[in-house]
Amino acid sequence: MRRKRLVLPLLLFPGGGYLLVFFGVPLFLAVMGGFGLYNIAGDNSFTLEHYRKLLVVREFRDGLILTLYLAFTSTGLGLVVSVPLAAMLQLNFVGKKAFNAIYKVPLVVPSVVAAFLVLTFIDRGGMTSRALALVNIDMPKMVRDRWAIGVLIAMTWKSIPFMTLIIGGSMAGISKDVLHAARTLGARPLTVFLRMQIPLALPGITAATLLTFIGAMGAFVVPNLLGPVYPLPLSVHMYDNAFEFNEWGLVSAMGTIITLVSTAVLLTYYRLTRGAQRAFQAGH
Amino acid sequence: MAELTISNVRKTFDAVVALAGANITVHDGEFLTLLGPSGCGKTTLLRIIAGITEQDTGEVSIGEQRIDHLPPERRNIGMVFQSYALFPHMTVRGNLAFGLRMRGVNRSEIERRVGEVLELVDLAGLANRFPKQLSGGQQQRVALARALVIEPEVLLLDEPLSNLDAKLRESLREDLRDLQRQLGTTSIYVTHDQAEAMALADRIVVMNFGHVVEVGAPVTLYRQPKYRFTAEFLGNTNVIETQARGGVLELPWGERRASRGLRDGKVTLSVRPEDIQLEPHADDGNAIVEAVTFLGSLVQYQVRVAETQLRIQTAGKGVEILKVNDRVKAVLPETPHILAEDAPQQASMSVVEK
Repeated sequence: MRRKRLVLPLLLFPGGGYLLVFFGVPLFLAVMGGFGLYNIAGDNSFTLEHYRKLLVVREFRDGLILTLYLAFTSTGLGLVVSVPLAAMLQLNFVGKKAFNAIYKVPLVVPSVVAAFLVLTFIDRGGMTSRALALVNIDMPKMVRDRWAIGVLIAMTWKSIPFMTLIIGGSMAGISKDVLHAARTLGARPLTVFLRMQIPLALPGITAATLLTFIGAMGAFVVPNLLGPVYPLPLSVHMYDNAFEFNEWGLVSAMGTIITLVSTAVLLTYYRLTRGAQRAFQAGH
Repeated sequence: MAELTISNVRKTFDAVVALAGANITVHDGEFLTLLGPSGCGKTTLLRIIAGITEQDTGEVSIGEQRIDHLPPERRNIGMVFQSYALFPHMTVRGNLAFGLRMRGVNRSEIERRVGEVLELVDLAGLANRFPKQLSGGQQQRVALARALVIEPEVLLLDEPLSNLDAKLRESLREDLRDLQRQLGTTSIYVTHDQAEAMALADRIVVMNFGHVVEVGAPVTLYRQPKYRFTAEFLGNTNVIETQARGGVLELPWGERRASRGLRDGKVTLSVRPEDIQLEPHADDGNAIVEAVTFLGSLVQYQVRVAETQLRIQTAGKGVEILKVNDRVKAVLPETPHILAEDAPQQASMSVVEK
C-alpha cells in the first residue's frame, strides 16, 4: 500500500519535477526578490519598498501603463487583421499558394530585424519620408513618438502571421458542410463569418490572442529601439535597473507585476469568451 | 408551384466530367431519387441545385424562375447533408431557429414554428441539447427539421441515412416518406442504396459517370429496365446473352423459345432471381445446385445450367431448402424481359473515365 502511494509521485517526477525546478523555483525567487528576500546582491530582509516605488514613482507607473497600452493595442490590431485574413485563406482564389507563403515571411524575421526595417522605412529621414518629401508632404513622427506608432507597426507586423497561422488552423478544422448549411439556411457570407467561423474558431482565436498578448507584455527589443523616450516600458526599466543600477529587488517586483497583470488579463479574457460562447450556444 | 427544372447542367472538375449535361424535371410535390454508384455525379448535381457548387453551363429553375445565378441564401432550398452539418455551438433550438432568424421572422413566430417542427420530428424534449449530446438518429432528425422549418420550396437530401445502422435506417426511411407525403415538399434524395431509392421514390433517376441513364417509377425500372446498368444496379439480376433466329430464341443451354417479333441477332435478357422457378427433384432436371445461402426470409441459390450460372431466389415458409449438388430444373418465365442495346453514353463511359 505504501509502495503504491510512492508510485504516482515517482511517475510524475520526470515531467512535474522538471517544471518545478526550471519554472517554479525561478518564479518563487522572483516573487521573493520583490520583497527583498533571496536577493542575489545586497540585503536580505523583508521589505515592501520595491512595490511602493513602483506605485509611487511616476516613471514606473507610466511605464506599466505603456506596457499595457502596447500589449493591448498590438494584440487588438493583430486580431482585427488576422481573423478576417484567416477566414479569407479558407477560400480558393488565384495566387493563394503564393499568398500563403508570403504572408508568413514576418515569422522568420527576428524582432530586432523587424525593428530596424521599420526604422529605415518610416523614421524621419527614412525611405518613406524621403519619397514623400519629393511631393512636399511632411511625414508625421512615427518612431520614438508619443503614441509608439512605430512600435505598434513592428509588433503587429510580427504578430499577424503568427495569429493567422493559429486561427487559420482552427478555421480549417470547421466542416465545410456546416458553412454550406448556414448558407442554404439564408446566411450571407458575412453572417457565416460572424456566426459560424468566429465562434467555431474561438479556441484558436483565444490561443493566438493570449500567446501574442503575453509576448507583447514582455517585448523588449522593439520598444527599446522604436519606442518613445518617455515613458519606457517595464521591460526596458527591468534591464536598466538590473544592469545599470543593480536594483535586483526592483527588477523582481516589476517582473512579478508583469506576470500578475498578464494572469489577470488571461482570467478576464477567459471569463469574457466563456460568456460569449454561452451566448453563441444559445443562438443569440 | 414548386416544379424544379434542370436543363443541360454540365460540370467538370479539372479534366473529369462530373455531369455531362443533365436534364431532369421534378414535379411539384414529387419525391425524386438520384441513384448511382459513387462518383456518378449525383451529389454534384444536388450541390449545384443548392448553389454550393457552380455549374459550368445549364439552367436550374423553380417554377418559372431561374435560380442558377442566385447565391444559396436566396434560393429557398432546404438541404440535409450526409454529415448532418449541425451547428455544434448551438442547441437544437438554436439550430432550428437559425434559418428563421436569417429570414427576419419575429421571436414569437420562431418559437411557434420551431416548436411545431420539433413535434413533427418527435424531438420536443431535446430542444436544449447540443448536437454532440444526441444519438446519430436524433442528429439526423434535427438536420431534417432544420431544413424543413424554413418551409423550403425544394428539399434536398444527400444520403441522409447512410451513417446510421440498418434497423434505424429502415425506420427513419419510413418516417421520412410519411413526412414528405404529409408536407408535399418537392424533394430530391441522393443515394447509392437501391433499396432506399425504391422504398422512397416516386421516380428514380439512375445515373452513371455523369450521365442520366434512365428515369422511371421504381416498379418500372425494376421490372422493365431499359438498360443493363439499371437492371444490375437495381437489385440482383441474371443477364443472359441469347440468339434470336427465325422467331426462335436460343438460350445458351440449348433450350428454345418461340419469340414473336424479334429480329435475328443477339438478344440480352434480364431475369430476376425470384422470377426463375426452381423445381426440386426433377427427373428432367437441367441444372445442378452449386451454392446455397440461407438469408432468413429467402434462400439464394447459385445454379449451373450447362455453362451458364444463374442466381435463383426462393421464399416462403413451406419452401424446401435444397443442398449443394442437388439436381433441379430451372424454368425461366414465359416472356423474359429483353434489354435494349447499351445506352450511347454507356459506350462513352470509358472515355470519361480516363
